This record gives sequence, structure tokens and C-alpha cells, in this order.
Amino acid sequence: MECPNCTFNNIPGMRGCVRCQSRLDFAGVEIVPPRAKDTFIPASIRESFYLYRVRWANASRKVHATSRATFLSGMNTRALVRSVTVPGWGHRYIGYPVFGWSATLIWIVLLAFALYLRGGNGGWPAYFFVAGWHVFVITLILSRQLRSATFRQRIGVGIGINILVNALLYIPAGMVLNRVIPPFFAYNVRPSPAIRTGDVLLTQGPWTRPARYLRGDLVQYRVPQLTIGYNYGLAGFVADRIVAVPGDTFEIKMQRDMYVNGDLIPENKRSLNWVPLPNMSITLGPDEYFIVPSAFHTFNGNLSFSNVVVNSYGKVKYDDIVGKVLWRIRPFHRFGPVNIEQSEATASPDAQSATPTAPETVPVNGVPTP
Amino acid sequence: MNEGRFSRLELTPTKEVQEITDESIRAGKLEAGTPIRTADHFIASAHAARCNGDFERALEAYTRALREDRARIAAWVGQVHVLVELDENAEARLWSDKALELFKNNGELLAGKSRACHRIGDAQGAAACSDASIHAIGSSSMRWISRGEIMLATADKRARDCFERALIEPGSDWFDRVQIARVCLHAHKPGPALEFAMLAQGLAPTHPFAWITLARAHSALVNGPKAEECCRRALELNPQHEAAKRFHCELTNARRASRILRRLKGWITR
Repeated sequence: MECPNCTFNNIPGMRGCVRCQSRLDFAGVEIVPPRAKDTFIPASIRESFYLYRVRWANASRKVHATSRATFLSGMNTRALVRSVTVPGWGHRYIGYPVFGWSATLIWIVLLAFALYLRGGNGGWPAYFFVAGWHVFVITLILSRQLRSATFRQRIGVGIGINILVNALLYIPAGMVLNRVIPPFFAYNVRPSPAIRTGDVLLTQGPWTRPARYLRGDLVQYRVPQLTIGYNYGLAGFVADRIVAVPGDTFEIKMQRDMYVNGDLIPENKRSLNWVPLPNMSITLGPDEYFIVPSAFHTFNGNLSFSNVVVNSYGKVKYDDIVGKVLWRIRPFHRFGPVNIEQSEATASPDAQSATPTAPETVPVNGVPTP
Repeated sequence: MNEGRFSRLELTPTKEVQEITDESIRAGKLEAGTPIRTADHFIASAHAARCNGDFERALEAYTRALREDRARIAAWVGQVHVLVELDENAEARLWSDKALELFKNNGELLAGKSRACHRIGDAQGAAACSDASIHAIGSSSMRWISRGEIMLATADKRARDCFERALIEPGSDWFDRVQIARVCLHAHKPGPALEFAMLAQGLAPTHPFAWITLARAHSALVNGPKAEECCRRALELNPQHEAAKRFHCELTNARRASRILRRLKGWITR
């Protein structure tokens, strides 16, 4: 019995070859090969794209070869990589120390300026200055290669480097920074000595915020829009102090004294501003914090702090708290840590008038509300 | 498995067909005029169909050959290579695995599997199978062609060595040159493809498939008029040649599309 694979003569009746272990008994062996399922597009149509596919491949190879001949011949890749990492480092590497150090210094200054302006109106222009300077320094490294390039090629290289530098360096760095220390632009908050409209504060972000907050922490949190009749509060972010944590029982008696679990809260630990509150008693859920809603602005008259308002604004979920306020970076003359003890003087109702000040009429979309 | 494709396989043979076997031919029991349907006949017709570029019919014939004799390694190998040519690479790998269970370390099957693995993207598997096929007993041009196909993706120089090694194998013919040209075209290397297609056409100027391969190589090099000329030659040799008719249609469509694009470009840049 000859093996079809190795032609070894086996003893008749054997089911497998002694030499190569191939099968000798083929009864019941499947002989029809599996086939791919018919696709929606017939094979004839798919094949008709053959020419276009080949032309596309040829064109892309041509572009690749041209770009390689134009830009990559004799390119100092190490200098380029250094320049992409830190602008000016590549120039120092190829023997231009003065320009290299100057480029790095200018970049550091621009970067610091952009970080300082982060969160405000000047942030984006400053960011474009930094990225633009970085791209400019990289293109200087490529100047020898670009000398033989056409105008279109130079434009293409500039745009390409700009996109790459932004997409691979600056945008990811900005995203990380916004998750570590996001800026908080205080807008439409009730002015207190601690925080005023126009302040830019650095707070903890989603990656750095604590698992639980403590009483007295100054936090940035999200407030929803609330409309009661003609009065409404703006949705947005404000900063204020946590007075009660999950599981606490919070009470207000005599419309001014606050108790947490039966203990009176000292007046300098309540909130940044004084607001009139109704008598109430709230037991907080497992994920709820209580923040006296004293920082946000109301429009159109006097939004009385009824139970509805306090429940909507005062009880804040953990997810709605962005993080603890860390540092004030603007305005420059108030640069430094946020001193919440400054609010002691104004937290007392005696320091202000017994009735809250008349709310300001703030324009909404440029149109003053009545 | 798609049963529709093999509906005309006659896998449940009629009495007449069942009686006509190799034994009956040897015993001289056949009447005059009876069609001979043996494994050899089907393998020969499958090879003819494959050389003609009709891979569906070749697959069908290989399967019929296996129905007659399941120990025909040539039919198993042919099925695997034809599946690869039909771009059904996952199925080719599956089928080569199945065939390798029956015929351990068969070099031709390993070469077919290496091609399937390479086209799927399993570079490691392809290299391993190719190495095993080269080390297996015997030698053939297809083993070196499959090795060259793998090398083509990484090192052009070594790929050319493999192709040249394939062409000096005993029994190497014009179809091996066509195979190499098709491999180069698949790897988007139209220059070498044109070279091997011209060699094939020089060896077999009467085979339409050699002309079609040459036409494909010319069109890959964006040489439309020459591609059309080659296609016309193939249709002159066999006006019913399916691959030639299809490719002629593709060329005509491409010419029309490029004419429209040129006209649009002219309107825009006017």
C-alpha cells in the first residue's frame, strides 16, 4: 500500500503511513473546499476596481518617492527629533548654540504666558503663538531640504508640521492638563473677598480630585439652571464651601443658624457670602454634599431662597463637584492661594445689611433684563 | 460552505459515470465513445482551466478529481492555490490545514498555506510554512514562488533570487512566469510583473492568459494603449476568453472614466 505523500510501501490494511504519518484511508474525507460567502458587491464589480487600486498605489508611491527625494535626502533626523521635542535643541545639536538657546528661551516664555492665560480669552491666541513658534523652529531645521522645494511643497510641509505638532504634542498635553489642573474662570459669581468675577482659579481635575471631600473644602461645582416664575439662576460653574458631607443632617434654625448633626457651624465656616435661608432640615444621601448656594447669580429680581431653591442648588452630587480650588492665577496682583478665611468678615449677617443687596441686572446675550 | 457554487458537480454520480474508473479502463470494459472521467482527466482539465485563467472552473475540476480519487495530492494542492488566486485566503488556509492533516509536511501544501497566510497578513505563519516547504522532501517552482511572494513584501532583491530559483526548477514553464507576474502585480510591483509577463508571453504567445497578464502589467504601469493591444491579441486568440473579455471591459470603463475626469478638469481649469 503506497503512501501518496512519500511513496513508502506500507503493509496492506494500515490506516496511516509508517514513515510520514500521512493518512492512507480516505473514506469520509471532505473534498469540497469551503468558500467565502458572496458579498453584496459582485466579484466582477469588485475586480473592475483593480485598475483604480493600482493607479492609486502607483500615485501614492510616486508621492512618497518624490517627497523622500525632496525632503529626506541628507536630513539630520536627530536634530529634527530634538527640535520637535524642545524647540532650539536641534539647532544647538547642529552647532547654532546662540540661536538654539534663544529659541528655547522664547518658547519657554511663550509657554509660560500661554499657561498663565489659560482659561481666559487670551488663552487661545497665546497657545497659537507657542505652537507657531515651535513649528517655525522645526521648519528652520528643514531649511536645507526646503531650499529645493517648490512654493506648494513648502506650504504643504508647513501645514503638515503644524497639524502634526498640534495633534501629537499640544492638544494631548492640553487635554492632560485640563484633567489634572483645569482652570476655573469665575464669571457671574457674587463677589466675595475670596472670589470675584474675573478671577481665574486652578482647581483639581477629574484625575486629581479626592475620593471624598471634607467639611470646609472650597470646591468648584456645577449648578443647573433654575427658573421660578420670572426669576432664574444661570447654569454654570461656581465655587463655594462644603458645609455638610454624605450622611450628615443639616438644619437651619432661626433662618440663620446652621447645624450639622446638631452642632452649630461657626459663621466663618458656612459659605463665602451670606444669604437668607428658610428654616429646614435635610438628611444627605450617600453621594450628596451640602453647599450653601451663596455664590451664584440670580437674574430678574429677588430669587427667594425657598426650600426648592436650596434643595436644587444646595444638595450637590459628587459627580457635579469638579474638585477643590487650589490657586488663583489671575488677576496678577491677587496671585496666590485662595484664602477662604477672608470671607469671615462678610460671612456674618452683621457685617452686611440684614437684607441682601439688591441683585444686579446682568445683561443676558447683550440685552439687559428688566 | 456555499452549495450554490457547486450545484453542477454531480457529486451523486450516475450509474454510467460510476462505472467508468481507472480499473474499468485498464480492464478494457468501456464501449467506444464513452467519455472518460477519471481523476487524471479532471486534474488535466483543472490545470488547463487554471492556465486559461478560469479559476472557478479549475476549482470545480479539482474537486471532481478528488471525488474520483481522494489520494491525489495534486488536486488538493491545486484547490489551495486556486482558492488563493480567487482571493479566498482564509478558506485557502483552512483547506490547506485540512489537507496537511492528511498529507503530513507536504511541501506543495505548505507552500500554498504560506501564500494564504501571507495574503491574510500572518507574516510569521507565512515565513514558518515557507521554511517548512523548502525543507520538505522534493522541490518545485511553486515553493520558490511562494517564498518569493513573502520576500517581495520585505526585500526585493531576495524575492528576485527566489523567482529566478523557481524558473530554473525542472518542469518550469510559461505558467510559472505568469504566476510570478501575478504575484508581483498583487504586491503592486508592476515593473517586475511586466518583465515576467513578457517572458511568459515570449514562451507561450498563443496562450490568451499570458497576453492578459501582460495587459494587466501594462495597465498597472499606466500604459493604457499597450494594455489594450495585449487584450485585443488575447481576444483574437480566443474571442470567448472570459478573463480577456472582462479585462477588456475594465479597460474600456477606465478609459471612459479618465476621459470624463479629464473633461471635468478642463472645465474647472478653463
